[in-house]
Formats: sequence, structure tokens, C-alpha cells
Amino acid sequence: MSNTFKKLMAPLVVLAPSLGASFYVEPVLAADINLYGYLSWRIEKVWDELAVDDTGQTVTEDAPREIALPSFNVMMLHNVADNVKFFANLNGADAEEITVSNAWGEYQVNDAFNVRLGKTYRRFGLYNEMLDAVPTYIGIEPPELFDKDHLILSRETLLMVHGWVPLGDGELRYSFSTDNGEGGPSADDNIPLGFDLRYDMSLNGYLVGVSGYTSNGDTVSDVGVGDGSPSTGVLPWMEKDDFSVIGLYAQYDMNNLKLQFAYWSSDHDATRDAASVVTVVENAGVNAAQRARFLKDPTAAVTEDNVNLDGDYEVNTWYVRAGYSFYLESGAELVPYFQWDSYENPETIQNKDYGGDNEAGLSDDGAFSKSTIGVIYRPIPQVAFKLDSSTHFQKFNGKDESYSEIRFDASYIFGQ
Amino acid sequence: MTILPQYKYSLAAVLAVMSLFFSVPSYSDIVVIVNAKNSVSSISKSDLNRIFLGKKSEFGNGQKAIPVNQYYSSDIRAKFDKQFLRKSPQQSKAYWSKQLFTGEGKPPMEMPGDLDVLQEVAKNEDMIGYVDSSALNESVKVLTVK
Repeated sequence: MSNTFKKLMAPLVVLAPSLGASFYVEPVLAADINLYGYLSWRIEKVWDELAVDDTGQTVTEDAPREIALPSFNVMMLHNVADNVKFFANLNGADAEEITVSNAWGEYQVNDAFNVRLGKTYRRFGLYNEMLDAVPTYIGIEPPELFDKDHLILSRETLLMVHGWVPLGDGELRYSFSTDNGEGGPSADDNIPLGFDLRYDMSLNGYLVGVSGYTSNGDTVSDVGVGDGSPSTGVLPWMEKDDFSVIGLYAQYDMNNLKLQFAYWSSDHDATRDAASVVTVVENAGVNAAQRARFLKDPTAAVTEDNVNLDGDYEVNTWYVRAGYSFYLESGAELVPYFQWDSYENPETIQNKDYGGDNEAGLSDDGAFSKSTIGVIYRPIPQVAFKLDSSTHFQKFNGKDESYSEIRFDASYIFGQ
Repeated sequence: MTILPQYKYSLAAVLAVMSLFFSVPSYSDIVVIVNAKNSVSSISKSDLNRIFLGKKSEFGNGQKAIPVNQYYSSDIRAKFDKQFLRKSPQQSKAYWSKQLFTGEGKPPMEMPGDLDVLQEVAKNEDMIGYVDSSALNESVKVLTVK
């Protein structure tokens, strides 16, 4: 295939995913296509989950163990030309339905300027782009800001420009992204903006960065009340929400030790929807603190007139993760690891069916901490067995309480 | 010859120190090579790192740079990864898995040994590779790594 034809084809391939167009790939290009992916099988069990009985006393019960296939991702990377590529990531979690997690084309002007069009994970901190790569990172659970029950913002975006410039022995990397906004296009035609700026000094083993996002005006949730967890940062009982996220992160690799840290804060200037709040309070089983936030008079009848419409709140979360790799004579890798997560969201509720979060929403004040210890065993780089145990700490029913869970995850990378 | 027990450990220590000076490594130096027609004569350690990690696709003179690696399981690959990429072979593999899973890029082609790398680099003006210095021949040019 001539270079001229590849260059002519390049814009089409970049634009195709964003236009929803189908395009023809000549068989001779097959040599430039990589097809690969991974699957992950998991079993988890929670002990001593907290609840309140009819007399107001705290009781505990074990949750049924859950077996799942949380990830079955098939990916395709096609280098159409030296400066044009196309990437697709299909996810068939639980082998039930196939969703398109990513489909984008990218045109590289030079190292400092790349344009990516299509559905792509936004560059945001250490984890958002690589959460689909469970076998490769420390731990099983994602950091709390990207826990699918309580996302701090949407993971995907539709237009991203990014690049890097050398700075000393490292690279200064940037990205800017925009899309329709959390719940879709808004009547005000707001232009939400995400950014990431990081200094990557891989030769010395460290990386530091800052990421941010602004909805740049009022936006809404992508799900209604009773339709489950939102895949955005806006709670479903909000009539409108103008919010921003800002955070810092750092990673340090020292020989076989990896350390990670991140802190995130999200500020919401929100207005509750009275009818939705009535539905939540009457059906979702809110606790006393949540009832007091939602209602002007928590002891009075639950009516729309009694709903406190001022829904301003702030979410704060941080984590540290540490892992140490031991390389065995067989070539296998053993990585004991430790994680500490902290998350605080006073606005959420426990009931996930109504858009809540079973962790922060369980707590009296919306705050919890979680310690995790675990180990990864990789007999070969393509296979990872992970076993870890977490303990949740929170205030519940007026007392400091904790409960534990254990997880085992087996994952396999294929096709590389 | 009889060695008195009280001198056993001293002798062992002396031999250990001497071995540091006289030991023969399994590999002599790794040399970074390019095609003989390539006008580049040196490369910084950070640019070498960027090219082999897929971050940079050009030499300092603007010429396209295509890295060629050695097999994942080879000793020279482990030594190169450690010395210039600051990674173990497993970390290197994990790095490329992340690059592939995020669509950022794919790993360089891998060759089974020094001779194969020499042949590839000699054939292609854009290639950059590495071999053991004992395998060098005149078909390629050695780059100074600064």
C-alpha cells in the first residue's frame, strides 16, 4: 500500500468514529493491526455488613459471596500511518452484553500536539485511563474517585488534545478534553473542560501531576432517580449542578518499590429537585443525617414544600498505595501491597438503586476510610492472581464501626 | 597448604574484594547502534529512554527513529532495560501492557539475538538497536550515549 494512499485515508479514519461512519480497511493493512485484550474473573465476600434493626440497634450480617466476570475486554489498535491511529476497546463484562468503552481516532501533528476524536477515557490522574488494565496495576479495586458506584466525574470524553515537550531529563505532558457535559448537551451550550498536566521523570522514577474539570455551568445527571448509579459526577436527585474537580497526584518508583498518592476535591453548586428528593426520602431508606440535609424540617411530613433545595456540597477523597515486587528465580513476580483510601461525600445515600453509594452512604456523615492489604502473584507477565482484604471504617448509628471484605481476582492478558 | 581457621574469613574477604576487579562479566558493554548512514553520532540517555518506551519517534536531527529490541527473556534485554529504561523485564512488560490497553502505542519489534539486530539495523536507516560490544561489526554505527 502506498504512503500516499495511507495519508489520504488518515483523515477518514480519524473522523469515522466521531461521525458514526463505517469504513473499509484494506486487508493488506492487517499487518498493522494489533488485536489483544484481557479477561478477569473475581469472587468477593463481605462480612459483618452493618444495618439497623427495628429497635434502632446496630446489627451485622454477612452478604452473599459474589462471583463475577467484571472484565472481558477486546481491544484493537490500528496504526494506519506513522501519525494516525485508531483504537477500539469493547467490554463484555459478565459475558452478557458488549459495550463500546473506547472508539477513537488520533492524528499526531507532532509530539507536542495530538488530536483525538471519539469516545476516549479522559487523562485524569494515575488511574482513569488504565482501569481496564486490571492485570497490570496494584490492587483489585479502583481508587474511590473512579469507583463505579460513586464516580467523581465521568470517565469518558469525546475530544482530547494532548502532547508533551521535553523538560530537563523528563517530559511535561498536558491534555485538554471536552464533550457534551455530564448528562448530555445542556440548553446553555456549556463547554465543560477537563485538563491534566504532569511532569514525568521516568528516568528518576517519579511522576507528579494535577488534573481538573469544570462543568462550566449547570448540568444534570445521566440517570433518573431509581435508575441506579450515575456514570457521571452528578447525583440523580439534582435539578442542576455546576461543579468542578481538582486534584494532585504523585508516583514514585524506587527499584522494586512503587508508591502512589492522590488527593481530589470536588465542589458542587447544586439545586435539588423537590419531587426527586421526596421519592428518595420515601423509598430509599435514608439515615437521620441524610434526612436532615434533604428536608427543611426532618420531623415534618415529606412534601415538596419541605425539601431543602440548596444542594451545595463538597466531596473529598485521597489514597496512598504501595507495592513491592519480588522477582522469583522462576521468573514469577510476587507483589505484596498496601492501600489506604479515604472518601467523604455528605450528599450521597446508601441505596444504589436510587443512585447512592453503599460505602459513603452507609456512614452517618458520608465519610469512610478503607485499609487494604493484598498480594499479587504473576507466574508469567500475562497472568495475575490477586488476593486482598479490606476493612471499612466509618461512623454508623452513632458509633465507630467496621466491616471487612475479601476478594480474589484472576486475570489473563491475551493477544499481545 | 593449611589455612589456619582464624584466617579463613579474612582470606575469603580478600578473595571477594579481588574478584570485583578480576571477575569476567557475562556481558561486556552494551552498545547502542544505528544504521551506518545515520548522521546522528550521539544520543542522550533520556532520548534513548523515550525512543525505546515509544514516547518519541525521531532522532534529534528529525530523522525517524524505529527501535528494535531483543527478546524479552534474553540477558542483554534485562541489562538494557535496567541500565537505560530503569525497569526490570517484568516492569517493562507491564509498561507495554498499559500502553497497549490505553491505545498509546505498541512495543518495538523484538529480535532473538545480536546478529539479527545488526542485520535489521544495517538494512534500515531509521533503526536503532543495541548489541553486546563483542558482536559489533562495520555494518552499523555506534552511538555515544550521553
